[in-house]
Amino acid sequence: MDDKKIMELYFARSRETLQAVDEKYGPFCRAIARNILGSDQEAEACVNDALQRSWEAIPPQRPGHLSVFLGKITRILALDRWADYRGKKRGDGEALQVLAELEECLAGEEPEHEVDEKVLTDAIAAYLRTQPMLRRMAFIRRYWYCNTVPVIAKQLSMAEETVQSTLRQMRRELKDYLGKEGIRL
Amino acid sequence: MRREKLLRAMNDLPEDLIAEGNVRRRHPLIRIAAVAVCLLVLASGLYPYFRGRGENLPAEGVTVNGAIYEIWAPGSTMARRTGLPDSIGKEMAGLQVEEIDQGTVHLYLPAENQRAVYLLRQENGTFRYLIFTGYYTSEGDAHVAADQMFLTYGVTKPEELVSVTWGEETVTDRETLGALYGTLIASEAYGAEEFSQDVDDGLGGETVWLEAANGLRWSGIYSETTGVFSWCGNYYMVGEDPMVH
Repeated sequence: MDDKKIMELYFARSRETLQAVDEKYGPFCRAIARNILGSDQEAEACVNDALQRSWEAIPPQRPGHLSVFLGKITRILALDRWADYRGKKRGDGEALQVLAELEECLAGEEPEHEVDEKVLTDAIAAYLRTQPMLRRMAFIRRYWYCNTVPVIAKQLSMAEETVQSTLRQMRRELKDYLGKEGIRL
Repeated sequence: MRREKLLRAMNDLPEDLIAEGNVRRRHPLIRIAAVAVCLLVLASGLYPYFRGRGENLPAEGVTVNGAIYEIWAPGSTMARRTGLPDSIGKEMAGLQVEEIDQGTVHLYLPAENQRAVYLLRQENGTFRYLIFTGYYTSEGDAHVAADQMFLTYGVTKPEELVSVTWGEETVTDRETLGALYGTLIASEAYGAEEFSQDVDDGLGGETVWLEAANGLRWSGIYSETTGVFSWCGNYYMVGEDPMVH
């Protein structure tokens, strides 16, 4: 079913909506949640919550890119769950490793002022737009979709070492870029 | 906490960046094979238009009369262009013609270390159009960008689109056309063979027909799941029969 028809179902408040969404985008959302949480069971629960959230959000919202809209909801819910499990010493998804890598983008000391999240998002986007497409894809796959390095290497037809060195270089560059923009994390 | 803030801040990155990250990149050999297959399909469909090419092509080069480009022999550079938007001309002017073969022109872009492949379209015995079909590098990495698709058909801004038929609905209002242009230009375009693999994988796609103010119509298949638009194929002037189906 195409997205236009799915949106019509949402707006008609049809009972078939979430089933249709799950059929089309369930695997996509589960993959995101599984990458972060490392558990099929938890990913399933997360995706169910994400579908429910989408049901509550549409209407009034009318996303232009339904897959990305659902992916964003799934990702943030998965990160919430993961933060909760982390406190309870559970879960073994890719998020911990991803966070460890992002440490390299931070300033040495805790900044005095909180950085506005929107400003931070815009700066990351601006940095990514300075990059060639392949590097952007690797970065987004690692830090948005939380794919493992071997998976990224396979998906982008690159050597694992190349992916690792590309990401390492981009983390350093992002730190410098944020610094130049006056953003200290 | 600071690391998590960074991770969470990425959640609201622009949709085009997120969608782009989900596009699969084929192995370079598969990608170049896909472009090659696409060229083959197009070339075979265009065969009647290339009959007599031997007589029309001077030994030392190709002149595209009528006139869009004048292309010189391999090793020389493009000398003159008229009739197409500057954006294409800037890209093409000064490029080195590397190979002219079977109705295709391979141009070398030294700065990028890439080769761009163009198909020649012949009308009434005269070469009139260059159809951009893709890039490849010396490493064999082929790439076709959606913005190139628009440039190929002479569209440099959304206002130059007259209509988009997406699935069963034809859109002509400016606001929606602008949004569709934005969606498509954010996509990555692949050759048809490669895209069919995505369809086989269950990622789906819908036929999209585009019509430009210059009278060209062309089509492709867009997958919202992957953000890929496959456009290598059908094109024709409004009022003509499609040259390739």
